[in-house]
Amino acid sequence: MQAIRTYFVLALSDVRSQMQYRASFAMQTLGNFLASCVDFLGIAALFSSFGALQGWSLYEVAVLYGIVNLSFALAEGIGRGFDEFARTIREGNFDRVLLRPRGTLFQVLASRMEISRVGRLLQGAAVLALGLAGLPEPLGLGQGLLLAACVIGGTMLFLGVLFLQAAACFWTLESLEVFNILTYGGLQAVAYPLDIYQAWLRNFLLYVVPLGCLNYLPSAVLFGKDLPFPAWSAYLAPLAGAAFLALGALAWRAGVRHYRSSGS
Amino acid sequence: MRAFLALARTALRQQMQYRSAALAGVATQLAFGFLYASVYQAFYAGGSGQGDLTLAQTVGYVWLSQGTYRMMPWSGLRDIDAMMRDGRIAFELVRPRDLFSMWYGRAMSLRTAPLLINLPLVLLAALLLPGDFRLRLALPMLPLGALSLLLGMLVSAAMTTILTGTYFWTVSGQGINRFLPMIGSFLAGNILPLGLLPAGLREALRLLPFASMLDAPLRILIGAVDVGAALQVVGLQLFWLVVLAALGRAVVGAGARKCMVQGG
Repeated sequence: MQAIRTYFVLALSDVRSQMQYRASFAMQTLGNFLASCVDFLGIAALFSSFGALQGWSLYEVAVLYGIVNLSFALAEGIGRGFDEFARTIREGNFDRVLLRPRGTLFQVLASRMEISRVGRLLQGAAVLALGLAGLPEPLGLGQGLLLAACVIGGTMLFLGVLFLQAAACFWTLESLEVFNILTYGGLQAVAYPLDIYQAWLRNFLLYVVPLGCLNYLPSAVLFGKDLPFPAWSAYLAPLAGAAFLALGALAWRAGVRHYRSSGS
Repeated sequence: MRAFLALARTALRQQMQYRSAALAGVATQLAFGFLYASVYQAFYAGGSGQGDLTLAQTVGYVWLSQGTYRMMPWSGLRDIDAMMRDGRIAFELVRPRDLFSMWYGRAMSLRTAPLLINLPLVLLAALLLPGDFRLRLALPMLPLGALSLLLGMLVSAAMTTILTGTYFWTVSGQGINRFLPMIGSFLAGNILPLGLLPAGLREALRLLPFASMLDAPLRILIGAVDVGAALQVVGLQLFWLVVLAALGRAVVGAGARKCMVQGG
């Protein structure tokens, strides 16, 4: 309880500092919103030209897209401190983190909350709503809960990737851009149904970086697509996000043990 | 002209310092190229849509647009917006060279230097890929395509200079400079090939200056147009180059005249 209160005190103070530059905040949020809109516009244009994608309609793909983009926006907003972690290490600021009487993961998490990501958040939510509006019948309670679990699981998974990315900085001291392939590439890849990819990529997105568990599996069940898995597995799939987050946290701990101060 | 070349060479050397970042960029572009190619293959498997490109041409377009990714006018010249804020812009104004030509030279190297590493590596990889993923260039069109690509770079550099010129008014480097590149990248064919859009829309977009940066050279290189049509396309590029260069000169000139540097 105390931890949650401390988290909000710290994170909201960062939010307040961003709100001091109101026009800049508005521009960044609008930019974030427009960039993701252009992205989805491309997908919509493809559907208007081709009609359908291997049995999936634009509405169904909108659900896939909405879930991951909502998750990604949440993770990016919450985990901004990990995104910028390379600088924290290089400038020796991690020493101060180690001195304070709180966990390191907690402190870095609480250090930043990037609110301009509200732009992508709104766009993701709008696209998800668009997709759900195209469903033949409204969602039941169980299905609604499944969707919510997917968004939460997806947020955890992307946070896990951010943890890994930051943990790698303990060794490399610089931000590894290859992680962008995992985040932005993964985001792009799972915006489409996994059936369209070659087996190795499909398996990678289901079992290694299990983004597909959080939008493709549940949506396929929701829309009654053929799957090589039983339908109940879709309800367990969001747990993959929690598992990945745990993996990221383990990597982080290993990194902290390896840490040596730059001495500055 | 000598001064122009010297400035371009300096900027080029600056770019070459970031070799590992360039390689990370190549890896990202290859991954995204592969993803897009997979998606288009899946769309084409269900019919050829309303576009005017074949699958092989679309895949070629994808690889070429990944290889030339950094040619797009993603922003104005770096540093100039900071100079506007802290007054260092005065040093730019007192140099004994025409401001527009100086900035245009730098913009040209900013848009072309990254391609020296990225374009050959991405294309080499794409030419070696198996089956439907391979890049197939229209060899007889190569000279005309190369000329068109050069014109595309010149148009993009003109756009970059215009964006830089607007810093005189926006100072913060935000506003239009955040939105124009994003929307422009869609209009240029960077998000998806313009040839995949419905007929009316794609013909209209191809008349705009954005298409002259990317869509024009790419269509020629993948052999989607014959020699006669290619010459028309090149003519349109020349037209936009002249118009945008004149506009850039006007914007930079007007900005420099109204610019007032406070002391200090």
